[in-house]
Amino acid sequence: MAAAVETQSLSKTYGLNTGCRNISLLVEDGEVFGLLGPNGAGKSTFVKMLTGLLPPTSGQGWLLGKPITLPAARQAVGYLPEKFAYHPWLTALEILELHGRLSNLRPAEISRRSREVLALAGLTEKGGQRVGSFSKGMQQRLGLAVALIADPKLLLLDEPTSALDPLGRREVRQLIQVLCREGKTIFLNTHLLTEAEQLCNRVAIINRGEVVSQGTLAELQGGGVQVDIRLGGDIEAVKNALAFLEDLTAIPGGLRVNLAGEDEIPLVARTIIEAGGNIYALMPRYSSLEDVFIQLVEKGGEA
Amino acid sequence: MRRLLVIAGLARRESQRKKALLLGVVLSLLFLLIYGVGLHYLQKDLPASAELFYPQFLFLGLYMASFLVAIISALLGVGAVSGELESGTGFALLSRPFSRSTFLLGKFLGYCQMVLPLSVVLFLGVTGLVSWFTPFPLGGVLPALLSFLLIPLVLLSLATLGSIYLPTLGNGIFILLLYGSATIGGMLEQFGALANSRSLINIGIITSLLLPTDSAYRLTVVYSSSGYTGPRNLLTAMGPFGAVSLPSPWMIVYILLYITALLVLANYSFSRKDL
Repeated sequence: MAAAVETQSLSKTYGLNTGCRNISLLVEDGEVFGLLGPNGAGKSTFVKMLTGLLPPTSGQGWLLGKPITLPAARQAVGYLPEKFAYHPWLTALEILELHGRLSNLRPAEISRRSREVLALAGLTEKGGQRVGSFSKGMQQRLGLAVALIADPKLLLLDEPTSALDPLGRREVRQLIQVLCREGKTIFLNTHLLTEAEQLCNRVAIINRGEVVSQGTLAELQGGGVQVDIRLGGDIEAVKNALAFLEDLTAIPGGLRVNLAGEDEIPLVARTIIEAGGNIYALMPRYSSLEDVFIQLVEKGGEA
Repeated sequence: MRRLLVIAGLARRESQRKKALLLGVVLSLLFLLIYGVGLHYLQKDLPASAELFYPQFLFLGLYMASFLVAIISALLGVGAVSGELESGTGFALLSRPFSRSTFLLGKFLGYCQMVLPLSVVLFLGVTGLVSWFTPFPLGGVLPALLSFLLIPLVLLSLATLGSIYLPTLGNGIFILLLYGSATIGGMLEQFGALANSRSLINIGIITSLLLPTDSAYRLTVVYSSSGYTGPRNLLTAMGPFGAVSLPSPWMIVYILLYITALLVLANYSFSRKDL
């Protein structure tokens, strides 16, 4: 089976400015993939290339096995743009009908799917209301409904919760999880790291138009753990005993060690006790996606 | 093809919901009403010398009808692409599985479906009122009507192309100023023909090549008055509104090629545009 999204060295330049450079990604069928990056990193540029809104300068890409340069590649794709807007003089149902017809759905299908997606987006009562009277959050929910109207296999969501309040964000995240369980592939563009941590199987971090890291969350976080140890007793003897650890620093009241994994913690504790040290507290701290993200983006910023 | 009709329907519905079509129809009817009243009193109050004014009234009516059609065409078409992009509504639409040329031609078709019937009503209204109130012998109404319809087609195709490159407001100003220049150029050409000035005629030819709306109007005038067999000076008396300097019949070919070229260029440009 073809990958849901595949790109090879996809690039977009605007004169001397680069939107995206050599982006190569593979998103498998059925996964939730997150593209993370600071504002202006090139996330939306990349998704716009996938959806045919921006012709790539170089490189290739495929959606569900079809080249992104062909309209047919978008047949089974739903897209929620970052700058979502829908004709204010149409009702929500008319918007869904328009997008359903443009996706070649039959009238009966449009009617059935419209009811379903309005319910999913929490807009059941608003179908007959003109979009011009919708709040920004309601319009974003409608955007999700529009993306889902043709029952797509692949959803490209560009900052799907940017206009929602915390409750709305939670509802949309739950909806994404439901869609994922139904077998849909979801490509999530976001700068909200908690969103990515909660939803994504794999992520790529993009900075200044380039992918600086990609993998599962565990792979990105490196599996390492930092342990702060509050110590008493002969601290110098403990330091000598732990000299086999590469990353060991003194902190007020104890030591800080960086371990490859948490399975090394008992060995460290045993070594301290055998060296005559007294352990008052042993506090592991796992690196978060935020740590990794900031580290990678700051490194890119210095380059 | 189905999607093209969906986009055409969207363009029509936009004009309906924004009351543009309704206002266009109401104001056109108002114009015809005023024009009809004018013809009525022309016949009633100036019985002895009215014949002198018949062709002038016909040309004046056709000129004002062409002006109304031109303004409506320009205003409808200026935001064909730029309006969708400026408001952000185009991003979700254009990510659907159809080509950009379908979107562009669908919009053009939708606007044509509104402007062309309105143009037919205005043209037949003016010529019908002239026939009803005066004994002026109209000539080839059908070729005159077809020439008249070239005016909105030229302006819609130019506005569609302009909306790819220019913001809506800028495109509107561009189209209206170009239309104004073409009209002035056409009038200068008529004065040139009366005064036998080659320079003025050349100005008219150049502006007609840039935007051939005035040529389409002059062809309309020529065909609609071709049934007249009276003194020629009655036709030329209108000066800038008449057709002293007759456009070449090849101008019709040029206008059709002009419209085709603009639409082809619009398709080419839009297919490569970064959205």
